[in-house]
Amino acid sequence: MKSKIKDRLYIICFLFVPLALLMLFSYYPLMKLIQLSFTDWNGMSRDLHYIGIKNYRDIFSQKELFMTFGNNMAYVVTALIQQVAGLFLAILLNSNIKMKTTFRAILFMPYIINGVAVAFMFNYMYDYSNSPVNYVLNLLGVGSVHFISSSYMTNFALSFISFWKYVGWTMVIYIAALQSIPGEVYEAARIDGAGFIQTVRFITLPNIKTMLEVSLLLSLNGALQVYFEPFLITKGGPNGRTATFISKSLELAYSYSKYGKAAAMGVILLVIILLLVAAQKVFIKGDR
Amino acid sequence: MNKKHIALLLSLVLTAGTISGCGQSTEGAEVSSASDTVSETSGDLAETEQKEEALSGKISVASNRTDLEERLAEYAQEFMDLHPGTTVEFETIKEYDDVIPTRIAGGEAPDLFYVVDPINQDTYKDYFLPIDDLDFTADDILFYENGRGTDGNLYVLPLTVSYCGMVYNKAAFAAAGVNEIPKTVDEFYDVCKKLDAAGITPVGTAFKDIWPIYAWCGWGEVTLTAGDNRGENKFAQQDEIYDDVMLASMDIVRNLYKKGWLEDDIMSANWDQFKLDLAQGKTAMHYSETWLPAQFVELGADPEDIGMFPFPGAKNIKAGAGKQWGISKDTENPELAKAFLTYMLNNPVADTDIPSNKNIEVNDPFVAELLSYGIEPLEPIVGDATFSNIKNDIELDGQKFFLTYVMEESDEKAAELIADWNAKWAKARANYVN
Repeated sequence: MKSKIKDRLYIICFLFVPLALLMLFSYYPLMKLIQLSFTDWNGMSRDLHYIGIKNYRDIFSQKELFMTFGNNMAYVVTALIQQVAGLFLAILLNSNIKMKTTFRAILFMPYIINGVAVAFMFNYMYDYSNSPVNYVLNLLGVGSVHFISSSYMTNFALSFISFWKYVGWTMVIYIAALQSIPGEVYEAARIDGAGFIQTVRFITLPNIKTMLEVSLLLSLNGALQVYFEPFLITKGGPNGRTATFISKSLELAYSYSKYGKAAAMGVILLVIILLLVAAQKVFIKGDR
Repeated sequence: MNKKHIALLLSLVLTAGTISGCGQSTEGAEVSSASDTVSETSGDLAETEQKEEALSGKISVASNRTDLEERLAEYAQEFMDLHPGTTVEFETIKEYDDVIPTRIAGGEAPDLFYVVDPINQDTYKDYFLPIDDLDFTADDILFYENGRGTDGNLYVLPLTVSYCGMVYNKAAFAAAGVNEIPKTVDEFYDVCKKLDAAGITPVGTAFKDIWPIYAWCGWGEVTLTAGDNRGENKFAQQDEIYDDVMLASMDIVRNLYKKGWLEDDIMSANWDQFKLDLAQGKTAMHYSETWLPAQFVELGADPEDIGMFPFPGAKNIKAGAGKQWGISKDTENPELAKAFLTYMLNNPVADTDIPSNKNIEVNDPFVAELLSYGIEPLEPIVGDATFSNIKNDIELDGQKFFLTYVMEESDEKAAELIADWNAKWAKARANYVN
């Protein structure tokens, strides 16, 4: 009996710290977000004025807000390409090639750089008249490219920034997964005369399936929540053609002082992502 | 067993650490609130005993001029030397418009700060102290009357003013064989044509950063320059937020864009590059205000080469108030804050500032040239906040929309966009105006 109490005490003491931090920095802000979504808070006044579900009604009546998911799709497509590229690099750098740790470090580097700095760097790369990319293209005899324009392709130009930043991270996840596959399996396959494509298809992919799912979910989640590229580079323009759901909600909060409505958008996105997770859960269960 | 003891000890230490972290902050709060009461009582004493004699206490002043940090410290020191026993601290904040609202919401507003979104005439009284008792009248300070809240009290005053006009590079004009400044829009197009032929970008927009084009599409700017209302904002009384006067101004930029008389790619034309180009004469003109020319000189342009003229065909030159400063409602030293605001109004911080105080002589050459063409400067009349309230309600960002409007290739679609906003405006207006 005495030791049971002691055990309880251990558990409580150890759990207290992470739980307190989790509550303070995750769940409290979430509750606050939900609370704010029912108010017309302007970001400054000290008391909250509740307006019921007006914010939600407004959002669902504004089709253009959901149109921004069309722009998010460019990021989703890029996230899928990123999985393939990350897996390819992982397989490559998990084999016996020279200087593989150096290559891994180089590829992982962009992930460490601050996102805002990356956006500014690409801001310069995508400049029409001063872009080093256009300079090289001109040297090769190709005309300058309008990276930032009013066409939909601008979204891909922006999503390439995330690709560049996160592909190394995806690679690291896959390398970790690949290293958990015992070498004997590959040896056996080689003795049986399996080629590269066959080993990837029948050994590598089935073994890293769970990791694939996790990484895909994280990337899709990131693609839906993306905001800093459009927020910093195009400010969502022109005519909202590069605005994403989150950049739009930031604009609502900071340009029009509609913090309540912006909070409601945050809650809606949360629900959408939860549905996505649930869908994937069901999908995996059905597969097993 | 031993290990278990160590584990228990460690976990206890961790927990205690977390709790004591909280404990410390409350202790700190208690201490500071205790010192608050002390300073309050001493403040009361000072007020009753030596009301007019000496100022005391400490105030913080929030400025966005990170470039003037050292100068501001000197400036505060000059004031403190005049009033021993006082402490004035400048805080320079880069992301002013984001930081100040957060600080106000957290009950930690600086003693002196300027108006940021979403403060407007309706809500001045919630954040600022009335300052009608300062030793100034409308005869001393430009835009004095515009600092009144909806309740009629005076809350804020500008330290500086500026005038709106075309900034141009005289060397670029000379290189293109232009000897006279354009006085009508047609003459302006002619000048652009000549500049373009000489390989100079006629008009710089820095469109990528969006805000630099405000003078072309700002309701205050356009109605004062081209309209007949002499500075009165009458949009809340009409069903069109984009009327003919606004469209005339916006269409000029649309035309310039179509003719290729703006930067090569306006979607990537940024402010810093634009400033360099105008300073070096690669770009000839930009529509802005009198605070700008000094920046070209800083970038190495010969002051003789930079000038300003009124917008072609302008009926008036728009005079604008700079940042509007007020005293926080929650300040602990209102007398000191008022004394320092008075000091700031009487002593410009930087030489390049054009003071709002009419008693201080202005010898800025750019202002002198702009006003020498005989167009009358006029200040906007600030009414109530209805206009900005409706604009926020329909979520219209005039500058961002302007970029869309300029870049829309088809004229019909551009007209549709305008009709859309006008319809939204008319609909929302009904909720605000009886």
